[in-house]
Amino acid sequence: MSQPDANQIFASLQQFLNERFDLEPTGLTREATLRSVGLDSMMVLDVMLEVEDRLGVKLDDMSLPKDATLGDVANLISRNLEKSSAP
Amino acid sequence: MTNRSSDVLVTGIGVLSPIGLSIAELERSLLNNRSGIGLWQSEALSKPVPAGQIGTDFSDRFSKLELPYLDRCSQIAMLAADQAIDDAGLAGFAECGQRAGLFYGSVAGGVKTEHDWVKQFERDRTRSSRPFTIMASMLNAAPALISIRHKIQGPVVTNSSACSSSGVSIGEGFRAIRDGYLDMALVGGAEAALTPTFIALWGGLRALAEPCVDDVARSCRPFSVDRTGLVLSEGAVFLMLESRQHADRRSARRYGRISGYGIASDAFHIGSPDTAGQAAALRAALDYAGLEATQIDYYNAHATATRGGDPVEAAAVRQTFAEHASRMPVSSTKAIHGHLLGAASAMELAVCTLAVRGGFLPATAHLVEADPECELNHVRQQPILDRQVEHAMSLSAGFGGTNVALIVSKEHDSLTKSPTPVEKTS
Repeated sequence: MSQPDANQIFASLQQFLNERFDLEPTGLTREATLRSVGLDSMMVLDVMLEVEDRLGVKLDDMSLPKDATLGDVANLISRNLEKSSAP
Repeated sequence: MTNRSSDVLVTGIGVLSPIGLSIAELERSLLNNRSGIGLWQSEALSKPVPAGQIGTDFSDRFSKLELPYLDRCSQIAMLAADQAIDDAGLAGFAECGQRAGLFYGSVAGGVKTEHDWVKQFERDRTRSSRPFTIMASMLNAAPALISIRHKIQGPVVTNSSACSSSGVSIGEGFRAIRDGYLDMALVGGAEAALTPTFIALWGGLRALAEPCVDDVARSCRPFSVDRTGLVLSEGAVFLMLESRQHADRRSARRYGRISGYGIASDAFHIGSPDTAGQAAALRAALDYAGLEATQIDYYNAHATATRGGDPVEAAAVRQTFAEHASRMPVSSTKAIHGHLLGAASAMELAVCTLAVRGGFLPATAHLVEADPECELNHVRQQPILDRQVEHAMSLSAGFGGTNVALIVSKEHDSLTKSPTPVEKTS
């Protein structure tokens, strides 16, 4: 399976947050903090678990900076995918 | 009786029950004897059972950001709490600091969430739950969420003592105000345990009622010679309690006054009730209220309609009230709303509060022939209207032996809430 690029990952994240939590895609920018869109740490964990299920990968690195943004979450997913596809 | 600033008034009530989704609807159902009992069935069970069902799905009342944390039990608890707070004319407790509390009772809490997870674990071999599941299923989820929504920053206490769970919570909230620790307490309970696994747990006890062949709505028949068992129900009921001083300061309208609380344990058997413990709770509540037994004008019984339980309570009533037991009107409204378990005491105290406020005696519906072992002055089949009720009493007796008696008394001042204009339908 070819690895999705950063834009695809962010678009998938937006779509998923809209589906699961009814969050308006227009407010889901890379710069928006998780807190500002109403997501707590458990919801972010839920997102990660969903990503694992959908992409069939194990996210080993779940570390996010303090007051993380959606961009940080997308980067985290990319980072893990790169690691998992590394030879 | 002299008014005391620490008297505890009921300034709001919230109800989501099989016989009403508001206090006004509950009153209407009591006056019209409308039963909320119907058949409940599941593919997982071999036969349907009678149950008190609310029926409505409330998930659309919450955002998708809230829902992951909300078992149905928490949903109905939050909505009933909203009602009680709104009914009391309050807009939250942010300014109260630690002077406002929440006392909550439930038997099974988020049991549906928990059992669904167990099913995933066993059947689907899922080995990691969603992150919210632990919080959605815990017993104190509902009070936690209510405290967050309404900024209740004092004691937020969850009590579980089977069928007297919310009774203990009401009593302890009452006492905290009466003793000066709090100005206000939201008290009550919730139960939403109509799940196949939970019903089957009760089925194992052989204590559930058979569906009435002629009319399933008549399946719960407390005190009746032909009773077959209890009917499980779902619901949430909260009462807003407030010190008289606090309520007067904001000119809050009130339903009545909580005047007595008695709690006593059987110390006898985990699953069989005992007359002595129940009588001790009744006596303790009378003593706390400073009332003679003869002053109780209406008694709302715990009577769940089991073969073993009802006669034990009838004996406790006769022992406590002596000669007055032959005159004091008694009913078990479980005949129409079923057994709300953790919310039962709160439901039945709300019924008593309406009886005191409105001046009527709720009935034991479907009671045609009383069991001689349950001989009391029953309000049979139909409520009695236009009857002054100065003091009403309610008993709850839980598995494990915790008994709670509560007394609500009439308030005669101009701030007493007027009864809802209710038309009795034929």
